Amino acid sequence: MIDMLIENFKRFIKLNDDQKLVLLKSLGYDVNSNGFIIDSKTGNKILCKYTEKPVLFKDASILPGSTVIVNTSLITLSEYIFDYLEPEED
Amino acid sequence: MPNGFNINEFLAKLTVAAGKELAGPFIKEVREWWLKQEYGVTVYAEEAESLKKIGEDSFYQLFKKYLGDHWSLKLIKVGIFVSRLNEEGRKKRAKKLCDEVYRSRKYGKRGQRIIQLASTGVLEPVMDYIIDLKLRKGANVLELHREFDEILDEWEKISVPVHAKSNEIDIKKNIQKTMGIKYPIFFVYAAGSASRIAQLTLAKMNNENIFQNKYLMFSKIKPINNVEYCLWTFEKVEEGYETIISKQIKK
Repeated sequence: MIDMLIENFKRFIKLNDDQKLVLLKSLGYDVNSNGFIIDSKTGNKILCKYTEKPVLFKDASILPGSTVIVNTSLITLSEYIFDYLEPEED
Repeated sequence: MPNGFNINEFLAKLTVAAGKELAGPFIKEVREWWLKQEYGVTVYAEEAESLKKIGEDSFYQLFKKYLGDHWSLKLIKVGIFVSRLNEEGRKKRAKKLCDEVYRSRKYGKRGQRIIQLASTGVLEPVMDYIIDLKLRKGANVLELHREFDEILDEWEKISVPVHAKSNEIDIKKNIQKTMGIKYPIFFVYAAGSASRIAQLTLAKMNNENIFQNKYLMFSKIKPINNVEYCLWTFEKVEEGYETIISKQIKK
């Protein structure tokens, strides 16, 4: 089941920690003192869409599709690609 | 967003902004960039690209088309990726990924089995068999789901791995034991130095007509980085199955 096919997607990129934090802050997130990503307005920890666990900044992938923040592993990336980047067969 | 957008220049702006209070127009620019949905940020960018390419592959797409909404589809790209890593000799990374799947437990024993098949190089031939069931026998989506799940569940019973230290007698005994289960399909596989004894044993068994009227044997031999990977698929001869020759005799 495709959540929302992203048609403009070009590629995956790696950001350094400084760049990643600026991106997160610009999108309305922050990192708490324990290193978890939080909603900057509510302070609530963000849960990974696929593992349903809080996401540590160091482990986070930030992916388009509104904004999908996940605990990075090849499994979660494969799940994300299936949901957002693979076109449905006719 | 201005025309002639350059991703590297944009990333440099992110670096410059680090540690400073983010100004409104800058935040707006970043959000506009993000809303274009052109990039995904991940520490495994290169591997994510490989997964994406596997997802575009016609073989995977065909498997996905036939399997419909099967639970394995979100994981199977990782399996194919593990197979490719092994083929490229990147065994350490492949092993790490296998451990990751075993630890995650999300996909249970069947998910672990997919990764096990991938690490022994037989995942894609099994996928090929499932595709073939659709193409040759017109199996419907539920039958394909059941068949694939059953192969994963019964793998230990329907597969015969041949190891470097295996001898002809043991291989023959194991194959005959597996044939005794009478499952519609079973597999024999070997790699490297085990390939020769496996080939020799199967050739002898074939000459002795052990498979005749019981199983049809298909072999795939693939040399990768000077290592020979061999897989034999045995398909049960169906009730009423007639070979071309038997049909000619009847005529």
